[in-house]
Amino acid sequence: MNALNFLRIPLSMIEHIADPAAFQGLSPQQLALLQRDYTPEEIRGIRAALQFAVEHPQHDFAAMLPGLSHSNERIHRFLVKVASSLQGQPGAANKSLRGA
Amino acid sequence: MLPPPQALHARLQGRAEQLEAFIKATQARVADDGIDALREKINKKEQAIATSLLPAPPGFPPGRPTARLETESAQLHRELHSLQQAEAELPAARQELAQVRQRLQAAALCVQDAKTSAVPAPGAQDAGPSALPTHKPTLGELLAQESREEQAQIVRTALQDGGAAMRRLSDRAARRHPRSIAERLRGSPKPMDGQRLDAFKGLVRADVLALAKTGRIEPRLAAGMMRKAVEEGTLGKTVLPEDRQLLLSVLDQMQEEQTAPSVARDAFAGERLPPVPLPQGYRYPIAVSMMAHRAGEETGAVFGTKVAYLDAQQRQQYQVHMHNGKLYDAQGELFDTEAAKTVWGGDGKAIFVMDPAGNMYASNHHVKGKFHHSSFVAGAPVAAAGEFEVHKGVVKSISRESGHYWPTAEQLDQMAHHLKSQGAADFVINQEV
Repeated sequence: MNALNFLRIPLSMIEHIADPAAFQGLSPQQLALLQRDYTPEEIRGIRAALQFAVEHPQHDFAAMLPGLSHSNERIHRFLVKVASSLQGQPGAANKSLRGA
Repeated sequence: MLPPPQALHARLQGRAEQLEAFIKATQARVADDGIDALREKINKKEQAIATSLLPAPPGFPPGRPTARLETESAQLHRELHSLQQAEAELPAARQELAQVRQRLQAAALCVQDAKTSAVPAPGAQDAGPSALPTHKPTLGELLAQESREEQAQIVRTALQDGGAAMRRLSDRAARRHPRSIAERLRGSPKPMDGQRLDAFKGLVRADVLALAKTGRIEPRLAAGMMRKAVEEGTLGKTVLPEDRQLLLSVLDQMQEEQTAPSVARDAFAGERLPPVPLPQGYRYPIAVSMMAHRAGEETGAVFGTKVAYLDAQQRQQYQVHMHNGKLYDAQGELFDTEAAKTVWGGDGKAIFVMDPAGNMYASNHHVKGKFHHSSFVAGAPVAAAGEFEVHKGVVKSISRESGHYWPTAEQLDQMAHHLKSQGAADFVINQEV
């Protein structure tokens, strides 16, 4: 299975954000819901895919999920924010992710 | 021969009686037969047919002849179809009855008025040439006037200061004909094309949606209402003639987009999985297949995670039903989306699909990569898909938001029609995607 497939999960989120440019990362509540809805292994997959996205801004993210109405650059910035909120969040959510 | 007001009154009275009789009879049929009870009878009959095809075990009498069972089942199907049709016509009949009653009241006044004017008032013959004949509005004129005023009121309520599009056009007119130094300094308005035109269309669209929400009507009707307001001068009195023309053409375009045939409007037909031919007789035959780029999602090939694909038994847990205009879940509880919340959005809204037979499935649980619109029907084509907001069984709004099906406007209409045919009313239909 292509590990990058996990990236489509956060990619799907961008259409639910009213203003992706103003998005500052996942809220503590969203992090809690992430743990509710996904297994530790799945969260690990999402984090690994996000790490790839952070390191490869030239990757064609828009092509991964047809229908996204944002530029590749904006999608990359959005994914970087999601990645940083997953990694930099102190407290229970982060501990759980590290332990996952 | 009756004079016109009396004839109109008699005709309306007759129609009202017809509608009342139809509504009463249909309500009684639904209460007596019951669609669910009929479905249950059909299921039993079909089970019996399946059983009769098996050889009877030794020592047991043979099953009933299959042909007879099939005839009985077909009869039940016909009864069910007829009942469903009658039930579907109920909301329209109720609406028409309300309108007929309103018109009856107005016609009664006209009849009374006609009787009064038939008896000459004392001294009327001596009124002389100074008593000029006055135009008495006809019933049709009165109703049209009432409708115009009602529509103008909706426009005024929904579009403060004329709405965003009109403010933009008024601003352009002010720049063309400056009345102050400040306006003169801003220079003449630039041609409305390219990005400027796209932005303007966005403003018009937002205004039309605001009208649709306030008037509780479909966006295409709201576009028509806005057009009429511009033509009658309720809106756009101060805009430039060419801008007024542009606005009318944008509104026409919006109406056309909403009413064009589904095939033309399904711009994504080439990006879907191959269509699956449906057997004859389905209630909602306008179905679309899932988007091809989501194929294989149940194996983890799309999201990494496996998307749940429910079988017939599992999907029953998500089936929702309308009863007396309210939506109930499979457990018989009033459906409510207030608690709907996921990591990626969906606050206060549930996802739903409707299959071509008119069965509706919904869930507050929408987890990207795990549970999607496609989950309910295991990726099969749907007659409608989207999100809705439901408070204690009362449907507040519906949309066609679905990344898996990218449904057409016509499909959202199918869903709206289905809900209305079962008593839901006053919900917002959001055609935006």
